Amino acid sequence: MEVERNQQIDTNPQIWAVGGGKGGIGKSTVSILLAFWLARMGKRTILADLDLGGANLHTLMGIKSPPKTLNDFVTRRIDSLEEVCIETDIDDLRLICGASDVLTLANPHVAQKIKIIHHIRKLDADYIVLDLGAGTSFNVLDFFLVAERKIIVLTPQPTSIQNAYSFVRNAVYRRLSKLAGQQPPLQALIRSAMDENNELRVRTIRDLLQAAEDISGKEMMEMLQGEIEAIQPAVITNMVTNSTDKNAGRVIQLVSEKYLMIYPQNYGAVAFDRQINQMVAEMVPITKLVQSSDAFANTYDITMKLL
Amino acid sequence: MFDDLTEKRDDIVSTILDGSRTINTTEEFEAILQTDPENPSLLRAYGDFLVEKAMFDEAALEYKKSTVLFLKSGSIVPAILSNILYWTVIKVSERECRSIYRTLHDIKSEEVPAFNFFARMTYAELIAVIGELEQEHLSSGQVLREPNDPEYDIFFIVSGLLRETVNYHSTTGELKQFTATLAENMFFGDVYPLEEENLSPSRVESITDVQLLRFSKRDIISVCRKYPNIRLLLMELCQTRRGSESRQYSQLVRATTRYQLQTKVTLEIFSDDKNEIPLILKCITDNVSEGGACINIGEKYWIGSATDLVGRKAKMMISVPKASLSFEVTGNIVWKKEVSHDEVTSILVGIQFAEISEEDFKFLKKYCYVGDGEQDMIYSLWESYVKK
Repeated sequence: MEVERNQQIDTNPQIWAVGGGKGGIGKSTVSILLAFWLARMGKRTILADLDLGGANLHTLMGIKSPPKTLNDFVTRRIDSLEEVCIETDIDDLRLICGASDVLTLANPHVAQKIKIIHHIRKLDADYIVLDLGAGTSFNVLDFFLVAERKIIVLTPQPTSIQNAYSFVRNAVYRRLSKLAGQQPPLQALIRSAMDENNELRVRTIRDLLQAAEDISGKEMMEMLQGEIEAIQPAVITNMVTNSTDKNAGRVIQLVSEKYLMIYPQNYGAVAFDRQINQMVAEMVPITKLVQSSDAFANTYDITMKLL
Repeated sequence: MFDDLTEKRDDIVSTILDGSRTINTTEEFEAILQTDPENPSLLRAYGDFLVEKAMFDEAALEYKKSTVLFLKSGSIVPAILSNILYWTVIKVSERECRSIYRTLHDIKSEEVPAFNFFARMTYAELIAVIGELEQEHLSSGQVLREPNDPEYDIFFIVSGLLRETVNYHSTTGELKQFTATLAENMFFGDVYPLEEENLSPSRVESITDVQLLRFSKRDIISVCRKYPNIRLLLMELCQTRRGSESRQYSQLVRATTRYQLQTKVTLEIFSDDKNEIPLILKCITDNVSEGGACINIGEKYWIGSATDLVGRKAKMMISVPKASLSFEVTGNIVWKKEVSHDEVTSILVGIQFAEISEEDFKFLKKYCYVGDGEQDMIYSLWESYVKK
């Protein structure tokens, strides 16, 4: 098995990153269920806990004390990220545990982050699902932006929608900032525009692009616009209890289109399930969720759409 | 000493131009012209003076000189006026007309949107447009536009200054104002899209005496029928103003329409015959502002010519249960158009609101103004679409 994996090293896995800004909205649960369904569909899948400040994905998978974690790789105790992967009860699903008790990984250096991204890309799998941490730190955003599928999870609460939007907004500005590269005037403009009440009165991405054109020319403006449009997050509304809750994703779509010139796709909703809370409390793996659960069925539909 | 003389000369010129100094003889005017022979405004004033004396050929010469000098300084709108006067006082040969057109084309002044508008026309298009422009004079302190006044014209400023004021709500909900000064070569009047009822977003009043060139929407539509390129040029022209507006009044996020949010409305269309029962339609709108709405009445509800709808009185009722909003407003159907999508043709009608109670107007404002920031918009949308 190990030999087979080593031989298949450049498989170029597709990365799905699951973020959303706010804590407690079920990012990890959604990540697990998406990874579960990918594996059940026969895709060789790795679920990676990139909540570097508060990793607990392993707990939701029923693992009390992970034998090896991402920290072992970063601190070079283990040379290969492949070796950090641990098998799960589900065929074709492996897990990379994070390490919540190790402060060194909470704020990785740029080099550590690049190393993690580089090695994730080399993992022997068809799909890698990244469970990102809460908040909109550069680390979280950078992991989000490298993914082929950029998934935003939110709940119908206004605070969650606001945080999800802030997450998308910060991701857009982070991408712009990186693209601006070594152009100090453009960098300064983007940094200034990130403040919603900036004195330049740049309020929307459209304003920003116009100002960028003035500074760096039309070609640069068009390049930035193309890159922003390519972000296209996939929005999933979690913990839905009625039909109007499902509209939360639409709110993100409309505000993003108006202010950020990006076009998030609404991939549907996952029903609220008391059983999941109980399983978390009792440390029963989420993957053991009964198949009659609506959340289970919803995530199957969403996985099919995302593929 | 030199500065004193220059100042004195400028004073004389300005008093001639503003009409406060009267000159009685051509000799006197020519003597003043000697002090500033390349002043296109003064040359035009001299042309006006000569017209009063019925010296049309001489006047034409001054107007022509004025036109060329204005053009060379990139001052397109005053040049157009001088040119109109030139062509008015004498019959000008086509060769002469084309010569001026070539001068216009040879000059680059990309910074002035009005210049681009005129300079990118073909000769025939320019002649057609110039033929429709009308002069307007305003004295200082006159109000030309109030917010929500219908926009029937686009105005190009020949001379003088105007103040444009936009009211907007700040992020804290406080009512604030943004003021801009409009000057020579600028324009105002949101007439595009031509098929829609456009309402003024601002108040416009003259600060000084003002000379304008007015291009009425009716004439624009007529000219565009023959010269479709003018529609494109007009669209670009209006976009430049919107672009600068969006930057200048960026706090005034255009939340005045509930962008792309479809809302069900009930529309009652009344007949001229009071005994006839009004037509009641269940429709969709995704564009409502304080002044009017664009409503999709579908196709299945309407039999007969949709043209018959224009001019009819209509009542629109909106109910948004999730946001506890319900109001009705009466107005007139001012335009209609047919749109096709996926082989289905729907009829859109534009309603200009006329009668609304104070209470309903409050609801309408609440409905239209989603907010002036992203977070406000999120909260408002959540309230309308998600809140239980």
